[in-house]
Amino acid sequence: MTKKKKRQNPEAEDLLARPWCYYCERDFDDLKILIAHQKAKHYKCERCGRRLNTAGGLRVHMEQVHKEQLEAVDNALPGRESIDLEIFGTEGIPESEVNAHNQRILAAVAQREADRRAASGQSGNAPKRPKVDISKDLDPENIKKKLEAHKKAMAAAVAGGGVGGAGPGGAMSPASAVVGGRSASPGQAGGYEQQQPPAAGFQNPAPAPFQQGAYPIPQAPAYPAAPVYPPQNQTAYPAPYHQPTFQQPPASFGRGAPVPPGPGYNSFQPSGPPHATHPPFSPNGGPGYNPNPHNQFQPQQGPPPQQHISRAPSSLPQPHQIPGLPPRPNAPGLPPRPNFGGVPINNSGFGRGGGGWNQQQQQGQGQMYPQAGGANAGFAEAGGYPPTGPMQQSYNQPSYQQQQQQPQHGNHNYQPHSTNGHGHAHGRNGNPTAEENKPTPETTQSSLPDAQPAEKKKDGKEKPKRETKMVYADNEISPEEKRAMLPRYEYHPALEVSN
Amino acid sequence: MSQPANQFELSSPPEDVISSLTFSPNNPSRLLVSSWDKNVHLYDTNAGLNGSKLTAFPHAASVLDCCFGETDGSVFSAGLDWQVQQLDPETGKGNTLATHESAVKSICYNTETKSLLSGSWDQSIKQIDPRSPESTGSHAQPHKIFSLSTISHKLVVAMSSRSVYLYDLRNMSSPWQRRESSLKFMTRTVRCMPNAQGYASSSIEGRVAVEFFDPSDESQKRKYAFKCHRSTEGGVDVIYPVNALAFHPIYGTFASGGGDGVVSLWDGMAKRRLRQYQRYPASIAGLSFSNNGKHLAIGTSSGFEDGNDDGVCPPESVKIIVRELQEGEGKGKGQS
Repeated sequence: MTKKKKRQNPEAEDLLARPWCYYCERDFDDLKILIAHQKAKHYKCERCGRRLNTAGGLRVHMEQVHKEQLEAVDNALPGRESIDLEIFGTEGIPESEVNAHNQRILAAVAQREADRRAASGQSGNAPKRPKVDISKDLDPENIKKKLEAHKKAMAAAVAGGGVGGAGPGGAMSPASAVVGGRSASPGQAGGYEQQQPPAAGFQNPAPAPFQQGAYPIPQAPAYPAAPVYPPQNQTAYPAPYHQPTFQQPPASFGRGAPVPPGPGYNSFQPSGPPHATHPPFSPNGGPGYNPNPHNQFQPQQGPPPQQHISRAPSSLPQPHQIPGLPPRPNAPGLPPRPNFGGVPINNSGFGRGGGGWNQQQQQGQGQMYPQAGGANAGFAEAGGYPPTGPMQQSYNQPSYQQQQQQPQHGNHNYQPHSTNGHGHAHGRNGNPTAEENKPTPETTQSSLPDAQPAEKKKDGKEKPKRETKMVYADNEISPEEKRAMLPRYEYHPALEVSN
Repeated sequence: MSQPANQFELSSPPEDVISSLTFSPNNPSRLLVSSWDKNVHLYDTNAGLNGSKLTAFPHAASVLDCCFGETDGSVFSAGLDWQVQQLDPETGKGNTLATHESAVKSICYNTETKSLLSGSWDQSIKQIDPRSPESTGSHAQPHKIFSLSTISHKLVVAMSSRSVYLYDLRNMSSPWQRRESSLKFMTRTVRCMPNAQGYASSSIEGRVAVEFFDPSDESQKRKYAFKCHRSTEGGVDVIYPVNALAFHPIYGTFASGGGDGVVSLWDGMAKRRLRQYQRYPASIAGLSFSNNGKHLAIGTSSGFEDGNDDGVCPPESVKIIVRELQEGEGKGKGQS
């Protein structure tokens, strides 16, 4: 039982410790299996089937035995085919790649956690929280001060027409926006608890750190961090935060908030900007905001979003760019890591899709699934992939989900490239009104941070949607017909014949 | 990427997008390629280091499809000039067999009935006897024809609006079966299995379906579809059209080519992917196995299919690659 549980929710350390294959980003239960995998998939001579130990070995073998030049490693992810690296097991992988890999794992873990929290509506069962030194806060003096401040805050809030509470709806209160923006969690309490710095055991004083000290006026609007968040945040988080959230936070505090009060608040700030300025991160439920115990994780949040922001606008086709796998330390919106439970070397047909962070899209290539019958099983098994993406979801059913398809037709015709962010917006449970209400996050997903979390909030059980983009999205006119309409191919047989 | 040892690029490829390519059913080194450059090109893939072009047949307009007839001496083409032509490799001259009311998208030759089938955007198919073109039969269809494939006495007609009709060539008066494609998006290509048990079809939405002719429930239960030719960029699933399918004449496995420039080999029976080749720099426009199954010809062209919105095709993206298959490569699992 315990073992099983662990498999379902592996800790980041365990994942990081798993040996993984540089060429296909799959990870394995142990090194031996990895090496067997590499020999079978990447270092196998396609002429005679001999399995070599390294790419270099295979190159020499090809040269000497078959008098051929090895150009690339077989079944490798795009960009990783180089034969210059001498990789055996996990030995020899460039450090930058190792770091990128680790970061992907951490991001996936964070994502999973966020998903789970979103799914359960609570953060109660979050695996591990750092123990926090709350002695400072236990200082009675301090408590009193906080209590005082809090009372003031309450009074002010009431006097001010409940700014803090009513805010979210009116998009007026930065406080609520801050809370909303930082939290991907659907439950009010959950969201609050996650973010609120104060330590466990503090009931009334809990909100105090927010208002205290730096912000003498207990009015929520005084948060300096608030301006950081673009207004979209507020609109993206309309309803969920009600008055009660703000005024009765203690309920959730009992469960032990992660970060110590003072520093807690500060520590949220550094991670704030990335969130606000680097949209792509939020779809993960904002890994940056997760009370993630791993210190190394937070600092690493910095670079990736920046990199991404430059890529985001140009994220469209140029097929040769798509591979851009390795150079990106932490691609945003990564799918959660698959195959925690192992499933080591089955699916023999599995080349590139063997696993790893981008398995989601490739697993379809790796294996074929019957449409009828055991389709579900097939998918689930090969994916090993609990929070699986939308496509799999919908295709598990014998026929595609209409909801998803129909709108795509409508919007995608003639403008294949504007389809970004559309796919995910179609909730699996298809909530048309929700979509109508939120045209903005839907259409400009790439520039809006909170589209996805907002979606999640709508429905805690909703699976995270993968965006999809069809390169050729016109379902009525074939590419040939379109090409035939180009002036250079124009031809009028009737005229020619009469001539 | 320099070329790996087991494949080579044909010299003097077409100058514009490749519309289709096919190996001769009689000669493992004759390759016929139709192109938007208004020519049909005939290559000898065995000549010299990189093959050589034997003939080019100029046409009045872009050519959309081509196929071999009974022998290598009879070659057929069809295209934007609304005509179906018989070409003579000796003289390089064309002879019009039939004329449609719109561009002719697809043609195929049926060896059983010794007839040529042509399908056009004018929503009709014609059954042409090349020896007596005057006895051509025309059969109206409900939609534009996108792809034809024939084997034994069967003809599969893939049309727009996801419509698929199966005909028995001995009785063309009405369709043998009317089906809806099991793919939810526009059909790109349909190809019959060499064992005449069924067919595979592909759609613009990165998906391939395998279906069987036999209308019985058990057979229909065996049909399936799977996703392929997709990639992820920045968390977005990019889905490419699957432009080309080709069955291996001996093993019955098949290859698919997508807008992503990837060619994959599949074992349709075991439902497994056998191989995936290194990605080519442009969309795969055509695939064909040689009759002995030893070579796979791959045509690549850039255009709408790989995300080029204005359909521009840089000439350097037009390539014909002939890949030599290793012993047993393309053999399905469990095949002896």
